[in-house]
Amino acid sequence: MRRVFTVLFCLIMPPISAHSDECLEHHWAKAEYMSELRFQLMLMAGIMAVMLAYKAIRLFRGTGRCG
Amino acid sequence: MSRILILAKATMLENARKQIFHVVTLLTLTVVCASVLLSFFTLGVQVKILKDLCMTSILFCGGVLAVALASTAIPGEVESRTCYPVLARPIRRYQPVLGKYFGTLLTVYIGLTVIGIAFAALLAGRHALDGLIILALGYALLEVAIIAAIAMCLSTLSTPAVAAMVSFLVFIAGSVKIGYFRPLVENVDNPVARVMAKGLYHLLPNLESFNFKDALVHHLHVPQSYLIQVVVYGICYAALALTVASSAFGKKEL
Repeated sequence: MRRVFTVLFCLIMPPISAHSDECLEHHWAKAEYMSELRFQLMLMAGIMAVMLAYKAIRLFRGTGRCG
Repeated sequence: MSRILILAKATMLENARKQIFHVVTLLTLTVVCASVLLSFFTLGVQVKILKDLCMTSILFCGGVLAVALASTAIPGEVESRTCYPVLARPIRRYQPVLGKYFGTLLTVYIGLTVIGIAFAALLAGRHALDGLIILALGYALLEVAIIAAIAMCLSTLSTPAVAAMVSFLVFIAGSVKIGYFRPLVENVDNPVARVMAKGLYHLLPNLESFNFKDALVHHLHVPQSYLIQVVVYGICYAALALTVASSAFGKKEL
């Protein structure tokens, strides 16, 4: 609950957030942000690969919009 | 490519005439200019608060404009049937989507540039202008690009109202994703609910990574490798959202 209020506090009350120690945990220094970015990049690459494979199969089988 | 640029230019001119663009931009500009009235703090603290308040206003303005303009760009054309003469031309279905997206983005960027110039002028007046403002504003623009792409993607899959509401929720949720939702997701007991929650969690964009307000306020150094990864992430996320939007618009029966 304390974390909820702290996050909302930092989001909604910008003048005071400049002084809050809790809000000074910078995201570029946290490993979880980097790992989440990398995981999402891999996930996006996987989704794009699936979409491209689907398009390629449809094209190969000739079941496109005109087929 | 030239067709996309022509469509983008037409969309930009159309969006620049919309009331919401003028109202939101002027409101944010007023907030930024009025922040000089925070004279009851000492000068050092005043500059920090000014930077924090102005950056938050710019981010919020960008998010609202991106959602409002992008979620109505395509459905508005379909409803008013003004897309038919465009689609009757020899263009592919993804070209109007990209044209609308870049046009909407240009409009939002024009508004944010005006506000950014006012912000920079305020900081220059207090001898507090440094290169970090370009970093903070640049990544704010990239964040807005992602929100616009999500709004455009959702507008091709549902109605404009639903797209706008969900896009705005994604904007808010993405801004507090790791800080707030990660502990919640990890504490879910039910295995099925946990899988669904994790799926939604990983689909949400990590918008907090684009927020360099702290670096601007406290003059902090950000590692270059992190900056590059965030740019690559932002471009890939927007590209994926636009691919889904183009695919959905391509299959739509108009």
